Amino acid sequence: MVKKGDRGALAELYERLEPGLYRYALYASGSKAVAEEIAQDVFLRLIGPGIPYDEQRGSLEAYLFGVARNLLRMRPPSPGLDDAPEPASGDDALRDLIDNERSAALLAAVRELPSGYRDAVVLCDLQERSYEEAAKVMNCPVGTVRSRVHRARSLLTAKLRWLRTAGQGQGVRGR
Amino acid sequence: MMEQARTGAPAGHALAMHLAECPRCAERWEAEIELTRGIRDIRAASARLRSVPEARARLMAEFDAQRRHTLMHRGFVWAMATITILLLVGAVKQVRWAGRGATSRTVQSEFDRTADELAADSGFMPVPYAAPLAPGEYVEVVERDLTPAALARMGLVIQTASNNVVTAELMVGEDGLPRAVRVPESVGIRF
Repeated sequence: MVKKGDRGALAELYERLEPGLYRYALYASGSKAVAEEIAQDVFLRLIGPGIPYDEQRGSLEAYLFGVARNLLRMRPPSPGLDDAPEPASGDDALRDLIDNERSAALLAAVRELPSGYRDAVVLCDLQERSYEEAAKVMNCPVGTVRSRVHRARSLLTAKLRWLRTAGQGQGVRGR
Repeated sequence: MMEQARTGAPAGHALAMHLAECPRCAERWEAEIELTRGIRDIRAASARLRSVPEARARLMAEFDAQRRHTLMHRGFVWAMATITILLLVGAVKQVRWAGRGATSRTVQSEFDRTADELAADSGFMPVPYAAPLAPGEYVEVVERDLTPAALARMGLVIQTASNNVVTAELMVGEDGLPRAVRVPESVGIRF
């Protein structure tokens, strides 16, 4: 419909899918500006010429999330963790909204995961997609998604445990 | 265990029994529940987040611009295709009209020479009873395969088998009628 020039169909599709795409990019990048750019690029590619979407291979939603994922992967690599500047407070939309310190730390830990694990946990846990849907987005078998989610959660629980221990240590030292 | 913790569902009876007996699994369960709670907090905090409204307006403007461009491009392509077809049809008609009735190629098309100049050429035999050329009338010399009978009707009797065709040159006036004929020297002419 969009390819045939239906403006209403595009508006409806945007309303339905853009928030999810935006949040997906936001979880992965941690930057509002990057998330907006990625979400916009996804839709610009959708309305642009020669979109290679094949409805036989899956839903349009999965295809668009796949495009967003590739766009995020194609972005120039961020500096190493040691050199990474803290996002400006005005740009870190989620950290402003999350008042729970533990959740903020968890979000930072999600962003620090290897990209395959991060995509799995963002799609399956944060976006509440099924393993099957995530597999289509990530273009890999369902079993791979499942194992990545398990592995990512193990890494995240370990990180949270470490943070808790470190917090208690600081508390002891502070006394 | 992890799948159950992911969904946030409480531990079933069997799992609860096991967790009561296994401190390691109990610790893992607590960690998974805490992780699920944290993920839920992040999800709730970000539930209403989306791009600024200007992004939507920009996208729709881009869509409109592309749509206009596509329509213009499509119109241009149709116009070019129509013109091409018309030109092709015209060319085909021209070729067919030019070659109408000809059985041999034209060897001196648009060869602008007056009848007086051509009269000076040796080898052309005037066709009997043909209308004389008007002063200044242009003629064309064409090459045609003619049977001995056709040549005989033009007053040229040749020494060859009756069914052999001979490539002859015809001097044709502006009215399309032959005025003179010439055959190659290798063909013997009977006078």
